[in-house]
Amino acid sequence: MGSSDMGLDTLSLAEVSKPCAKMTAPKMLGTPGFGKISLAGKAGAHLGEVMAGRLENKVAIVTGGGSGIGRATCQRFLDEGAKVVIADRNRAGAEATRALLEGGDDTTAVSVVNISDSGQVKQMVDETVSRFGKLDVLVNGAAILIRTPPLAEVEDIDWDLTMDTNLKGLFYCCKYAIPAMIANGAGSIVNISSMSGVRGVAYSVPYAVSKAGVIHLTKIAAGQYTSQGIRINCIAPGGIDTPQMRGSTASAEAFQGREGGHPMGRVGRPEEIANLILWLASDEASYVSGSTYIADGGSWATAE
Amino acid sequence: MDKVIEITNRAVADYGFRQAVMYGANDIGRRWGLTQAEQAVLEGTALDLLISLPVPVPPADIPMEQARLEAEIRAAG
Repeated sequence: MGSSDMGLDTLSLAEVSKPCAKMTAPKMLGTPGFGKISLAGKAGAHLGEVMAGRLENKVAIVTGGGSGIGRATCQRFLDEGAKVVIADRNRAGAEATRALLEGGDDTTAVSVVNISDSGQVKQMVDETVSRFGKLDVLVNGAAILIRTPPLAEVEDIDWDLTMDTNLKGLFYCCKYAIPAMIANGAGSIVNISSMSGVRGVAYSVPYAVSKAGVIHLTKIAAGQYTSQGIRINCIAPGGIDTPQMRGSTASAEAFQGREGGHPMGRVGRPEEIANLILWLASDEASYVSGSTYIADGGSWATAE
Repeated sequence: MDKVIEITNRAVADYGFRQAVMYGANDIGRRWGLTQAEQAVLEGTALDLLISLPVPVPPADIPMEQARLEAEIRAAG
């Protein structure tokens, strides 16, 4: 039992029913309701029980592993027994993640990769299989967010840079990971979209379109590869407290204003998305493929 | 150095674009058609300046920071 025991179920009834203006996040959420019951239906299993080692003997690549959701995912994966390749264009960020994980050479590796370059992506996958023997899990978290004016004023460079990373890069990662997973007999891909890909946002046309494309790519790829043992799913997070979000928010005051307008009184934390990624990546989600999960703290549901 | 300054001006104003420059200066230089000399300034002086900027640059400070970076880039070029 580790820190991941502190799931939603640790809240007392009084805490749950308290009409709080700001719902605080536990230090580390378990995956509510899923990771707590053994597949064997173990007698006495209850919601406070967490299975450790959910990715034992699994090999995972996490793109965008140098910060934010990707970094939190690398941490969760390592905690659950996976061997993790921390892939990022930002070498310093990827190496900082590796240092934080405190994993050894036998459990972690850094891959400095520009995912919009197919040759680099192929090399990343090949080297992962060469080093760790196989590939079980791919998390496509790498993305950029460039703010743009309305559609008619969007510059080609902003469109191209965004699409090259967020959509073409993700396509390349799937393209080269899937054959490795088929050779392995099974696999799980988790694509990180965004609520902007679900509902659209005004502040970045290419970002929203690219993230909508990720959702659609997920459905198509799942339709094509689920029968071969590859589960492919997608997560659409709302506002998450990452360097990217803070950097694309005009000021600290604007960030606080965003939190104040949220039904939970706060934006999400990278660990909260990593928990959902973990579940989708693990065998606990063995009957889930082609789905997109919204994780926005109820923001969309309560929007007028 | 006008192209380099155009790139850094945008990188000051937009953190996402700044990341694209910081971690993909080669790619950005290719897309902008920079000369070797311009590319060297982008990967040298300009990157050093961009890395040291706050995240994000407060909107009120953007013109000042853009002017400061332009002056240093012109001096380096």
